[in-house]
Amino acid sequence: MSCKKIKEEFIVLFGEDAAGQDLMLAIRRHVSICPRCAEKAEHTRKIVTIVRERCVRESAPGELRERILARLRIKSSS
Amino acid sequence: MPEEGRVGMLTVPQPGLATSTLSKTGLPKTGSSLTMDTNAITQPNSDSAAIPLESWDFETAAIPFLDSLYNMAYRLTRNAEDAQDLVQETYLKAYKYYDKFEKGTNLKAWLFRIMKNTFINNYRKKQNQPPQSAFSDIEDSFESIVSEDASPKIKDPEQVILDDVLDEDVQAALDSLREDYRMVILLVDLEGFSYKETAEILDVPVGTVMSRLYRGRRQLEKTLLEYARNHGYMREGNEPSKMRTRDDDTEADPS
Repeated sequence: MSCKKIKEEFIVLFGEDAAGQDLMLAIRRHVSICPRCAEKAEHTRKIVTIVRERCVRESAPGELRERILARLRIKSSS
Repeated sequence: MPEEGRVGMLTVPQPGLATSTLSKTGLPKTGSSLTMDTNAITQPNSDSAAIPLESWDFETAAIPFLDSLYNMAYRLTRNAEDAQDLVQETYLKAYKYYDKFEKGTNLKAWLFRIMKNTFINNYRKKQNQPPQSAFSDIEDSFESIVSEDASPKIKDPEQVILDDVLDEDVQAALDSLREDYRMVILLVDLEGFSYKETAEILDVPVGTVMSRLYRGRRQLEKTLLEYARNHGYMREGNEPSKMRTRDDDTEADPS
């Protein structure tokens, strides 16, 4: 796989399972021999990891859950 | 919020709903039922016979995504009240059109798609978003994005600096992103949707998802580095005047 092709694919795909097995293998192979792509991959991985692990997830308030269930049941019984 | 949506209304059981069912499924019969016992509704017993099957179906299938939907709603509306209304509206719409949902396909993606549409139609006006966030904006071709960014601009020392960012910085950086970038990052990186699913949720081509993702991540990285540098600046004992404050963000955001 070429550098250019890799750039198109992996810069955004990296770290995703969206790419499918074959593509991911080809990407890994290329990254292992291309320092520039390896660096890019590292950047992407870092950002994705930060978002996944450090982003505070807001939980739905219990009251909202109750309200929604109540509204659904009012609708379903009418 | 319409009065009928208030929790207080539930103290009067609805016709056809057995009281025992109300408590079993987490409706506020007791103070300890704030979190829904999903096991209870996946195994309906004779008490639940009064509730139509579709309702059980929908609740059982859709309610587990409540936290994910709420998180996304909160990131889109940036305030708890609008987020709650948006999520509730999403569920009511989804219930209404549930017969249109193709069984066996991705319900979570379907719910997110409904929420995205609801948000655009009803809430975005309130967000005072600049027109750049329109979903119809012209996307650069992938080729041009890639060539424009031929060499890595971020050097290794700055990569190390990224470890310094605070969780709240990650949040602030995400919130500061353009709405269309923020959406793809939340959907792909946080919620784990595939590009194809994300494209369907947003009604854009997969290539658009990829370019937004790429640009969004890059912008996020830049912003995080800025924050991290500010922290470093603080730590070296300099004037904290350069430190970005959360108040600034709040003032800029009329929501």
